[in-house]
Amino acid sequence: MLATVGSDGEGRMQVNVTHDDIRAVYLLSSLTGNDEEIAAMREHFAKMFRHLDDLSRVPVEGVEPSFLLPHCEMPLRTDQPSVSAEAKAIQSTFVECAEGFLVVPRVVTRGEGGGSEDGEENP
Amino acid sequence: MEQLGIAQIYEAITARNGTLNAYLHVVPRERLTGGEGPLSGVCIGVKDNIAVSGLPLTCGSKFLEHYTAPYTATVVERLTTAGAVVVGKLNMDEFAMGSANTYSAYGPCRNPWDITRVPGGSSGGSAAAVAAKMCDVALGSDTGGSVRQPAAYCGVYGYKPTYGVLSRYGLTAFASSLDQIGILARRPAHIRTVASHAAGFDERDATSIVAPSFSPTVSSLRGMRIGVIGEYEAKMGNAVRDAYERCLDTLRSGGATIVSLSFPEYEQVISVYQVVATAEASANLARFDGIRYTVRADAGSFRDLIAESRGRFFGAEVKRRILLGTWVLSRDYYDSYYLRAARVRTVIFNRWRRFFEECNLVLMPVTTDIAFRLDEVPDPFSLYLEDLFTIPANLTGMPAIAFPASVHRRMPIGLQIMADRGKDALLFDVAEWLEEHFADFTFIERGCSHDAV
Amino acid sequence: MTRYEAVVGLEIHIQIETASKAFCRCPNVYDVPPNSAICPVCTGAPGALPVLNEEFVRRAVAFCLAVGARVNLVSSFDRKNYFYPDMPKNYQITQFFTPLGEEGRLFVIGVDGIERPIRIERIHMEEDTAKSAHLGDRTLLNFNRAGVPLIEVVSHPDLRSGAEAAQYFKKIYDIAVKYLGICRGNMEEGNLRCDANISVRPVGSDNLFTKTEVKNVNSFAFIAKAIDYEVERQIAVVEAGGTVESETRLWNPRRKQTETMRKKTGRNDYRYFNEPDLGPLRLTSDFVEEVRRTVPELPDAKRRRLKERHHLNDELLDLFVGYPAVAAYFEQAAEHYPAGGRTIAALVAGELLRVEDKEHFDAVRTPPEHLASLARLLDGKRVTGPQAKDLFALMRETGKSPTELVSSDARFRQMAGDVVEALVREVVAENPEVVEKYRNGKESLLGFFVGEVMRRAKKAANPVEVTEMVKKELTRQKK
Repeated sequence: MLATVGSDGEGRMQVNVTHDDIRAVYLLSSLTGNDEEIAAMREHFAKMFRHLDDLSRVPVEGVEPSFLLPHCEMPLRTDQPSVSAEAKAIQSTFVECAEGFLVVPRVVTRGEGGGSEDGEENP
Repeated sequence: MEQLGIAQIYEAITARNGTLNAYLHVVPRERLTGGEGPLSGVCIGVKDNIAVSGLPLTCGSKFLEHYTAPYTATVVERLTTAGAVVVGKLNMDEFAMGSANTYSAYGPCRNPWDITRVPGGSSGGSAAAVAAKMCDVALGSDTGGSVRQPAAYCGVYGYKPTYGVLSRYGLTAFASSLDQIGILARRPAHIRTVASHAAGFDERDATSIVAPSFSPTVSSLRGMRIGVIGEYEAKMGNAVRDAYERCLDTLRSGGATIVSLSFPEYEQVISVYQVVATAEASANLARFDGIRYTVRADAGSFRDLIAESRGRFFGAEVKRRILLGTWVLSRDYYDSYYLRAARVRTVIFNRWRRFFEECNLVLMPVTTDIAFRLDEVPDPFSLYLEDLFTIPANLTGMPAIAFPASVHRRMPIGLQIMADRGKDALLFDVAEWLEEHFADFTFIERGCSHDAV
Repeated sequence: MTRYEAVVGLEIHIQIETASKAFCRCPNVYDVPPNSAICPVCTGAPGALPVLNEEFVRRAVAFCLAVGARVNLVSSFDRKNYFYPDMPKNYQITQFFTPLGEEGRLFVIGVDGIERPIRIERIHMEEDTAKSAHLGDRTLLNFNRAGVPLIEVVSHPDLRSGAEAAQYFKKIYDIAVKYLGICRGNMEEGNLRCDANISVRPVGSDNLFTKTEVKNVNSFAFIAKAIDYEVERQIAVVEAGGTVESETRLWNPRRKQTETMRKKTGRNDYRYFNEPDLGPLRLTSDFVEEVRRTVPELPDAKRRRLKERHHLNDELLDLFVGYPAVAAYFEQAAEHYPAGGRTIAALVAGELLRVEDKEHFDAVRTPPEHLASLARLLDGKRVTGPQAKDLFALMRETGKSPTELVSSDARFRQMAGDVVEALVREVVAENPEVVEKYRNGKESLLGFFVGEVMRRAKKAANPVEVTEMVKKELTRQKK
């Protein structure tokens, strides 16, 4: 479980950054690090979150979020296939390749067929 | 367009790249493929996060140490079709995260004006190569200032286009809604020329747009309204302020009116950027996992393999940013950080739209001071605060160009002008006017022509 | 004792058959060498970007309309973030915050024979993953499938049994594959995949209890069995005083049971956020109407209409609703003989489908107007049932119309009623012993007389009429 998040009377975020919190985010990010690194991260993130606090000082009543710039429209593409010239070049970038397949260490079956399904568990 | 010529460029590379470490990979001269066209003979250095088929694409990271790009970025393709030649891949902060080129896994790049100092980042190699005449023009990338800041530190011009003007297809993504390929050169006319060949809608980039015309729009400053942001005054170092005020005087004498603007959210840009950029980056960098095309750690299960590879081959700064990005997107934080930052971004965008109702351009600093020494680089957090002046152009998608303004303690100082979306041509016009009436071009020639210490 | 009911929802993924993939121009093909239909985009190479396929949008909208869902004119794409080797970018482009379609419904017939609506919560677009195959301690990845367009159809947990689920799944299949033609419908190739979310609760309760997920029940045969098994299993757990564990299970067809695949340890945090490489998808209502015009009449409407118009029985309705190409043929024939629907339908089911494959239906050798004429001849008693069978075969052989054949071919001459009567008398007179046995109670011997008369008439008589005549004659003889 990530850091407890509370807010003071003015609605500002207060983030307590613990060693376990950092470890949890490492796991979620699929990263590893030794204890020394994690301790340094803890200091850094304590500073970061204190600074990020200033986001709450800008009034955002009735303001829509911009995930993209407002002018962005989405062009659609015609359904014309074309065989890419890069398939072979891409295959040659594979770390391990066998008869055209990319070879990786065995994974736990997610349920054959896949689809948009949850992979491994994350906390 | 004036060119140095291949011979001179390769001489400069041979003489200076060993010290400067601007190029990570140089195309052997006999393998140069150059064509015919309006840009024939123009030599281009390409930042190593932009794909050129058959050449390395390290992104300044150990993760991609052995990776060869299987395709070419649209912008590069358009330039080589017009006759330009790619001479090599340029050093950079790992995955474009950094402001000093000290986060490169392949060693720092050095500032040609003073090799004990940094060239800036993340496009440090691009700026150094242009300043040291190791190419005619360089391509970089700018997500929070990574083209303009090194340009200012190295005394050259650095252009970040209106978002969508230069296709991102082939640019390794850092923060998708902020990234743009940028162009660095010793003269604004070179940037205008190169941009006009590279710009425009690309059917492989859904965020690209039809390019505005780059033809000159104004020849004098008479009647032009140039905004200045009051809150920035207190944030500049003395040398920068000095250049800034002299520039304002020059602009006034050219017939421009100076307009005072207030930007109450000027400091929050950093927090918005930190949240938005790292969030997008955490997803964009997820593909680097030791599975497909990156170097791979030795580990048992696939899950361990991924964590081990990423833990080992990412540098500390990249890890810091991925962690923050993951954090602000996680369930309990999304609303208070990511969503909140996106709303503050709208406020900032609206603020700047209103600025450009009152003026045509805004004059701003790029950095607070000259380039710092390699052994005096600030800590990561302090470094983030230096992005204050460059971030607004990325958050709003508006174009900006950094230009050389003066010299202090034998180091260049740059300033920038920013315009409304689509007004890139106006930036080139004013940069060219400033080149003629303000910055002394010859001191740049002198400053860059040897490895000064 | 508490009675429990099943609470089941289905998540169905449908691969959309477009020429190119969802976000790149790679061909959307199945049987090609591994990693040949790939490009920087669908392999997640650094610097590659997605661009949306307009045909994918069109077909997804068609499906939304076909199930009565509301099409959101503005929807966006989102990134679903998790690490897995078959995910080229380690995030999937999907629609989380705003799906393309919402609140549709399909009807199923419950155990009580009553029709019930099953609500569809959402329909959204997303991209498929690469295909993985296991070889010892390695996994082999093939990215040909990565980026293939998918729509995900999520129902509310309104299903109450395995049989209902199978019906619902079949309906979705029929709509996508046979009616709209947006999916190839090959289950082995994974063109449709189904996961079930199953829980149980006391009858009368409105709460939702812990559910399990049963994955990849990709056959109509198994889906009902797997769901019913899992429901029984959960009821047994609850009745024994335990609680159902939240987990993912797989159906084992050999052992005929569901088995734990993995436990769910808390909810996954996919850190969904708006896809910055794609702007919002804005559709005009004109576009939606244009797509609506391409949506054909759908199963339920077709069933109702054919039933009202032609009074067909359930078996024939199932046939026509399940095979719209066959239904189209039937209706063409019925146009030539509107009152003869039932006879034509019987001929289609009985004769035509014996020689034509309903899965790949193409009746070019039997024009619908010929079948209609044959039906007329039957109904008008110009030919008998057995004669009609011969006539059908001859039609296909010669390509001639039945009316032409009937007037020219001696086999189909109609025997006059008095001639038939004479034959009946003949046969009865020639077989007094049999008559005796019949009179003494062996009523089945009626068939002997009828058969002999038919043989002598060379089938040119109506067996029903002949039977009546024989009965009359035998009764007359008695006197």
